[in-house]
Amino acid sequence: MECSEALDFLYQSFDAQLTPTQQMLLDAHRRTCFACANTLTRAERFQALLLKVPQLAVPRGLEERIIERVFAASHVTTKRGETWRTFVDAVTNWRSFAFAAGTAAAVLALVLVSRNIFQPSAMSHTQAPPSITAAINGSLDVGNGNTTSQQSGAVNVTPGETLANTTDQPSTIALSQHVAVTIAGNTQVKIGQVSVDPQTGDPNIVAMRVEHGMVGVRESLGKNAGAIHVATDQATVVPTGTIFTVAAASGSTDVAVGEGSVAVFLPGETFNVLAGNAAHISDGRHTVNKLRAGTKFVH
Amino acid sequence: MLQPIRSKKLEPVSSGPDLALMQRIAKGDGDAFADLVRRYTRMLYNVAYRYNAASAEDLVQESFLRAFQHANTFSGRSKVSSWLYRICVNVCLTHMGRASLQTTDIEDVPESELTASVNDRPEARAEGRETFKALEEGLALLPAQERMVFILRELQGLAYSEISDVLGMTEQAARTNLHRAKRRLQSWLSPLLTS
Ligand SMILES: [Zn+2]
Repeated sequence: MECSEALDFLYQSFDAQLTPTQQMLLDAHRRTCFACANTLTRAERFQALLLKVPQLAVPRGLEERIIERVFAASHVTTKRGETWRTFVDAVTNWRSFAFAAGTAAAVLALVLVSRNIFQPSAMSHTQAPPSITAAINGSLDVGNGNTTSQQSGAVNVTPGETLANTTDQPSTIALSQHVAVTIAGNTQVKIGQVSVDPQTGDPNIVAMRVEHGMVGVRESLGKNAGAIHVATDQATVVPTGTIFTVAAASGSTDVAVGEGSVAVFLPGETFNVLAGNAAHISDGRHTVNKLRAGTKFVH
Repeated sequence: MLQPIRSKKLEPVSSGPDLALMQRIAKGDGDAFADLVRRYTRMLYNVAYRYNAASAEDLVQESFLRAFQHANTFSGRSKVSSWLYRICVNVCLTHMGRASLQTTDIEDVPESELTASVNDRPEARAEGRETFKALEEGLALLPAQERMVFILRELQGLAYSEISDVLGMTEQAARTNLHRAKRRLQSWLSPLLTS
């Protein structure tokens, strides 16, 4: 046996891969070659050392960080609300959301519906209604007709539930990675149709009816961004990567757009409102004006 | 001294339940994915850490992200653990590709320097934490492919057939890589192995 072969033979012996003849050759070489004997002894010590190398423990919180990162990148919600912290981040980033000046006094009904604009049947379901995991920054009274409880943090949003803000301070609810709705003080909304992408769990459409008060919507565009549609008895507002507010008063609706644009659907007519503009809609007619200087949507 | 009992197969035995889990994940089931993460994070973390300690968390996160995004490609023909190993290995080797400019290959380091760097530290002779540290240092200097074979075989306990599958090389190539890695590491750790 050559010296150059001895170590490989030993390595193979660790894997029980040597024939008896090869084993004899190796043993014989080892007895007669001082250099190889030392090398082989070190190799055996090394192999023994490897058996003692401990498996590492997972760093604290790594599993949660993985889940959060993957869900954030993939827009997944879970029944257990594990996207909660991701939502918190989203809400925290958006918490400085402020309402457009000039519309803050408006109080009345807003209606959010699905694509089937003005068709109440869009809110009905034959299947069990899906719920989505949302996150509340601030607090809201969540009621299902029978019971009402004050909630903050992760919450399941289910069709038919009401979200009421009985304080003077706005609270924000993140409905997905892409849509946050700020609910003004003294405002109540009712959740309408909720449609969830079966592949991603991300809400496709969230509809809500604002029973009184005002909401502001921040919606970011994304490949998997879910839509949110806002309608009043006057108009339906469909955003595209937008910050906007909708407020309704008796017989009129005001729409103010901070970023992006919204499409406004009236019976028989559609028009767009671009960032920096506000529309006033009354009795099926509309006017669009520049937003008042200094109007702030986000501080 | 207590001999730590090291399971050669850290990952749970994979079969029907794992396939069902992967099918749920492919449909976007976040809870199923969370289960996958809890089952296999330690396995992948051990690979990633031995491969590149500084980036281990990132490598594991990236691996699970890819696993989630490509869950529908899991056919059930291999074990989930093999499938995850394959993803993780790809993530690691790609990462190495980006970072390789800054690393020194152990082949470029003179043997005298290899032995000196461990020997210089008086505490290095005490087997234990310091030995493992020296092993990690030596591992970091191995060529990427040899390092990965060594990790999968000697630290994760994979069979050559599985390593061949995970790394896309023949079993003989896996053996050759392993033996080279061992020779280099043995040389690196020589001062700790003599006496
Ligand atoms: Zn010899």
